[in-house]
Amino acid sequence: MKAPTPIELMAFYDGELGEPRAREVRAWLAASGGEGPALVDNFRALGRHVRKAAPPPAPPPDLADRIFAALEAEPSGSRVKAEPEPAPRLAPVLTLRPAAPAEPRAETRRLPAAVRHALSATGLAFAAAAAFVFWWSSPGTLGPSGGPGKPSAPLGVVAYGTDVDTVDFGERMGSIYFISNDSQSTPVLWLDDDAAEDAADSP
Amino acid sequence: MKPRPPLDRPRTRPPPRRWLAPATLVAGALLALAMGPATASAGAPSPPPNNPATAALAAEVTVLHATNAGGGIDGRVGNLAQLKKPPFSAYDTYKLLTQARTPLTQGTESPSALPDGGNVRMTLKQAVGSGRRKMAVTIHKPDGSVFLPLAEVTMGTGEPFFVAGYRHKNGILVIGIKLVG
Repeated sequence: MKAPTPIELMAFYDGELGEPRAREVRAWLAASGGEGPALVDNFRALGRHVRKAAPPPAPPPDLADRIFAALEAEPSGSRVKAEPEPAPRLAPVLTLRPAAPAEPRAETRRLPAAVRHALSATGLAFAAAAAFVFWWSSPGTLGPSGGPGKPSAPLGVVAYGTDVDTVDFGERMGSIYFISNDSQSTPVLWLDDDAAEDAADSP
Repeated sequence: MKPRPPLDRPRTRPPPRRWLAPATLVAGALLALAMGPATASAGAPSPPPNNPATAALAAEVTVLHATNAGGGIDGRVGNLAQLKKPPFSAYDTYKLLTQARTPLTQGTESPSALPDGGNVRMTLKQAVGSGRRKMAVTIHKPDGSVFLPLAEVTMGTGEPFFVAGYRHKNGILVIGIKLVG
């Protein structure tokens, strides 16, 4: 008896192998000892893994139609009837309007004219005070910067830094350095005093 | 959809003008900003005079002795971050020798003594706006020779500048000059 190929074994395991070959394979499995059943066991284990990894079966394409058809087929009293969305919104409005007092509600919240004028005047006063504080504390041309006894515009000065306008080093060698520090630079005039001392020491 | 019932009561009042209050505040703020300077100049104390001749200005002269003795920066110097940067980083020791204030008067030379008998002479010049002043500085040695013939700077209050290189006891003097009010 010819030994079955793996393809034939798979077909046999799946029940797709036709007769008389299926009978021959069955006889071969019985006579083969451990080899044949081991191969079939492998196919069985492989099938289990494939079934686990496979995605769940998709719902039938007409599932939605069947659900709606079933809903339509039900008697109307057996389920809650869905109301249109706008109806619940309009209901309280129609109920409240007849129950409202003769004057609209907005009228009851309206403040007397005197109170409104007082509030407006208070707002004007606060705005004027804020503008005055802003003007008083800002440096530059808007107003007096700093307070009495203080130098004018200290904030503006800090932004400038010290400028070196003219330097005469005389007989000495000199350099001008600018050290950056935060928002300003500090100038350093560095003079070479050694040459002068050497000249003074020499006879 | 159900037809909407007609309103049974016509509107007889205009809607409340709720925009009126914010608009009033904004208009008031703009008005106050426009009238601010005039109002304040009438009611506030008069600003300090910007006359350099009368302003109480002084020069703070700080004299440091820079050496490479491994002593670090004198704690009395304060937070002078400039000393840790080039060119000052060429020395690792800064010791505070003197710190003095010299009153300044515009057009008049004001001296400040150095530890070895020399002096720094400062002359306050005209104001250049924004609180900044021009100042001329000369530095003289004890024997009368001139170390720094002239340096003219424009500086504001609290901003230092330095003159370095003046030989002194195995090191140099670093002279910091700052305008203070």
